[in-house]
Amino acid sequence: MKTIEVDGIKVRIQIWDTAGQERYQTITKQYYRRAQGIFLVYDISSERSYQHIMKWVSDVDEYAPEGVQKILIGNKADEEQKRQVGREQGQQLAKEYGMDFYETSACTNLNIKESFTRLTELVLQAHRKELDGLRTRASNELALAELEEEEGKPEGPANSSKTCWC
Amino acid sequence: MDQSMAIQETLAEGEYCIIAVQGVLCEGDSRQSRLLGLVRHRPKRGGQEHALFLYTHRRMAITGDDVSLDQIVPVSRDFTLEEVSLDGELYVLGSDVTVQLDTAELSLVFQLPFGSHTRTFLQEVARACPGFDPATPDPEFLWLSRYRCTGPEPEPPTPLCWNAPPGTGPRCAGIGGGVSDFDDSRSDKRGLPVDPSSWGQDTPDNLLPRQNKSKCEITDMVRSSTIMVSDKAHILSMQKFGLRDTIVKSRLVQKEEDYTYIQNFRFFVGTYNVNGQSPKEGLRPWLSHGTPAPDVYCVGFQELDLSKEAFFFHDTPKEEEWFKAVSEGLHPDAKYAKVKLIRLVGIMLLLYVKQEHAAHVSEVEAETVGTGIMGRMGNKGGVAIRFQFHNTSICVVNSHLAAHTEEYERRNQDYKDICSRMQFCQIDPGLPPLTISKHDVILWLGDLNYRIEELDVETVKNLIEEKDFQTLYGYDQLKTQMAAKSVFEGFIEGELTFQPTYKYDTGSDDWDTSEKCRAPAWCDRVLWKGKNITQLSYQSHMALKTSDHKPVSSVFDIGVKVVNEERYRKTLEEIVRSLDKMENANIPSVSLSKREFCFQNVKYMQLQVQSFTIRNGQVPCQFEFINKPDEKSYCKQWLNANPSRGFLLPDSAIEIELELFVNKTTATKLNSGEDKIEDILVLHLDRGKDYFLSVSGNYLPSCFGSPIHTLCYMREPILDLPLETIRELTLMPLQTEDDGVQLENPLGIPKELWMMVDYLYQNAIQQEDLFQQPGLRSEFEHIRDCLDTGMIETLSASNHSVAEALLLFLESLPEPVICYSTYHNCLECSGNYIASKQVISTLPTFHQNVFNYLMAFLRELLKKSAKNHLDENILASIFGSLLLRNPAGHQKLDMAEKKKAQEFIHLFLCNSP
Repeated sequence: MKTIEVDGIKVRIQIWDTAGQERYQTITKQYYRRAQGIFLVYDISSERSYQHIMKWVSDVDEYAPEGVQKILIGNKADEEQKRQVGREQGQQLAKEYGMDFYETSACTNLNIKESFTRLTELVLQAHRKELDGLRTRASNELALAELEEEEGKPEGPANSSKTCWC
Repeated sequence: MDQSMAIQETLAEGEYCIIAVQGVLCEGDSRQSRLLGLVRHRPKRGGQEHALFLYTHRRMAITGDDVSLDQIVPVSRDFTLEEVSLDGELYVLGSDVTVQLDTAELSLVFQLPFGSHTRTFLQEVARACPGFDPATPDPEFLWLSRYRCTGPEPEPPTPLCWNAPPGTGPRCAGIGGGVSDFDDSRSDKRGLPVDPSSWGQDTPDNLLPRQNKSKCEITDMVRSSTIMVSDKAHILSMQKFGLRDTIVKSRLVQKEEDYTYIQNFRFFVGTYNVNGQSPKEGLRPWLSHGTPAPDVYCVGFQELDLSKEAFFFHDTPKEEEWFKAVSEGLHPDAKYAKVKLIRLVGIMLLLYVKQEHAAHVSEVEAETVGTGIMGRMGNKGGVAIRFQFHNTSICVVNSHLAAHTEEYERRNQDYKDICSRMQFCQIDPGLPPLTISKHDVILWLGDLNYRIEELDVETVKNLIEEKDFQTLYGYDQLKTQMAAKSVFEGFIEGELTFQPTYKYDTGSDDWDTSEKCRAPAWCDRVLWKGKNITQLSYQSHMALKTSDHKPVSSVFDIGVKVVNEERYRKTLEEIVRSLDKMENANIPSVSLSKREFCFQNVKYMQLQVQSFTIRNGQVPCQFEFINKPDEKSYCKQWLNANPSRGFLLPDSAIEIELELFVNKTTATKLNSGEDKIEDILVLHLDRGKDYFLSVSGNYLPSCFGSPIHTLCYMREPILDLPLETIRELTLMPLQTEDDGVQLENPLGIPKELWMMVDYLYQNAIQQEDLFQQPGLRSEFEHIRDCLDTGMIETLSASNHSVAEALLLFLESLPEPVICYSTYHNCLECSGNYIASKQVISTLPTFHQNVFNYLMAFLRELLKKSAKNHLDENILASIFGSLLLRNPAGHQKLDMAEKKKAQEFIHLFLCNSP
């Protein structure tokens, strides 16, 4: 769980980190159904993990709900010397799929907050209508659950680093 | 005066006026008084509907004749009645609560009187709003139709009249006319209305709020605030986060020192009993002496108006006269904004702040407590304004306590009554009301009416003449009562260095020369309570001669907690983060000693167990293996987790055993490769995450679970064959001989069957109780391995174990010896040997062979029945249910079927072919 403020709205995001291992994929796919935003994460030091993104995207298209928001993440940006995937490659791929792109580092906190805020923004925008309904509602029973956003976060296969920013 | 009674008289049966409030309707330049009544109707179809009835009225409505219906606004789904705070640059005289009423059709602005009644009214209206629950039907307001065209006023409809032209629908409250422009333009500014340049002027344009905020933002703000809120309060109350919000707030209070610093502000506190007079002289000598200009003015009056009208109707022209006089008498070096004016009959308190401080004043509330006649009336009592200045809560009380020298105990009581009965609303309606004592700073001023005791008038006057105030102070009732802790406990008063302020002949500095010839007394006082308060001056002002009292003033430096915005934001972020952290720490989490399980060389009917430990973290948790999506059980049939669910206390652990056991049901598919020793278990924590456990391994194919014909084609021991061959043979359809596709010469019967039967024939033909004694589990495994590896010569087991292995073999055949398709035919002709033989001849060759072979063997056994005690009935009952199995789900045979199956076998045992 994490609380962030976007547009003056306090948003509670629930972050799921799904197992990246291939053998679990049949199961993890089922978890996409409940996600509103998804980070597709590869490891910039692993060409293979980058190649896998296409598979992730097609899985997401197939299993995630309509209107799910996606962001492409190239993680481990701090490991410049081991880089196998160029920044432009990431940008190119993101462009192809119409996604935003960030290179992040869970170790140095690079772009972590930014990418989470951005994805949350996108999710909020996608749910603008419901949100407006909430806002104009005169009742005081604006329950926590109604603003709670859930986000799935399937990580790239080679990505074992855990988020250490919170 | 409860004016809802008057409204009630005008209503129809079934309609009820919940609450009424008298307000001012502001339309452009015009200000008209309206009575607003919230009316409830309960339709027959259930539920309830509300409407706001607006009445014009006589001065004070007592009966239905005093009011006349002007307009009805149904409380529909799009109805809102919200407080709006006016733009910071604007100022509206005397406005206490400005509310804006909006529906789809109209928009009205009202000013309602301050105080708890208005608040209750607004709360009632909020409660009446139907909300957005789609489950509840839209209100229809059919009951209002009777008011529609029969309005009490015969005049033509005014633009804001209920008598709307047709076509606007029953829910239409009227035509917007000139006011529809209000819709998207609201005032949104937090902080205080300030406009020093427009004192005392009505500027109607002020009510036309600015155009730069969308409606929803304002709704948000209005909903979350009371009157005006500063930035911080605004952020916090923006969205309702329930408990979490409360925690954040209390943490913020705890950590206040981290993000605030003390800054001194100059407070002017003044009190003046004006004896019912109007202002006749400028108040500057009292209010604006010395420099610099105070940051805050707290100015209190008593006996503002002594008339009966003021007492009974609570209305007096003096209010505005003195308000103006004060406003004009404020320090000329600064511009001030009025924060609040509150009055109870003759007791009035005014609060001003320097214009630049207005944005830092929030949560302003004012209340009154009457302690006069009957202990309730307003001729005596107190009024108070509480507010938040930066981060310090301040309460200013102006009281007029009971008069007369001997009544000091009454005064003490008045003080206590004011303290206990003065209660302020809080922003959060869930919180209990605030009392005076709950403030960081309390400033108490007023005509406290304590006198000088024991001394006669002359002595008092002499002491005053000698300026021996210290001696005189020794006889002051307030001093002695405070010393006795009977009143004003914890309060401090500065040294009295000025002569008593009461009682003078009006217009002079002469002591009272009237008949009563009252002894001089320090009636008018200023006390304080709280930290970081320094009194800079405490004096009377002889220059003012309007009243029989002299005004008193005290100037303070008060250390106020000022928020460092950056540090505040940081603290808030830290708190939110720590709450998140706490919440995350409260999500159950466990560690698993192992997540991957490999079961090697799994054999038929041989249990393999692997265990792992679930070690719990700090949160009690419930765990359970859950079904994967679209699956009926949490794992494959050959697997079992024990226990598969449970509860763990913090820091405790539990061992879970994964039991793998392949039986006749699961063996065939493992032989054929249709199934594999592969599975994923999902261990789910209630409110927590899911863990995946992977199970892998390999199965050693066995003759057990293999079909008869498959085994017939296996000339080699099954374990010597490549898996691929086993797979193909297992999947091979049964009746291949009809297809003419013959694999290399098959065996007549499965060699494994022959091995067991032959073994029994050789060793056990005379064995007593054969097939009736259980074998040994360990010997079964040995027999299975011998059969599967073809090393029959090494077989050494008890006869009973081999006999049982034979039965298990027959039981594990996926297709029984009498094929499922032939089952019913067999039952039908049981008792008829010829017909039975006929049916057997329809079986596939391998099955025929096996059947005949077994029957021959059993008949051999019966020949030795003297030794082995077997008879046809025993064997028929054992083999009947193995050879003939009901195709309907392998269920147990019912008694009749069982009997027929036995009879069927019985015939073959009795008759040699």
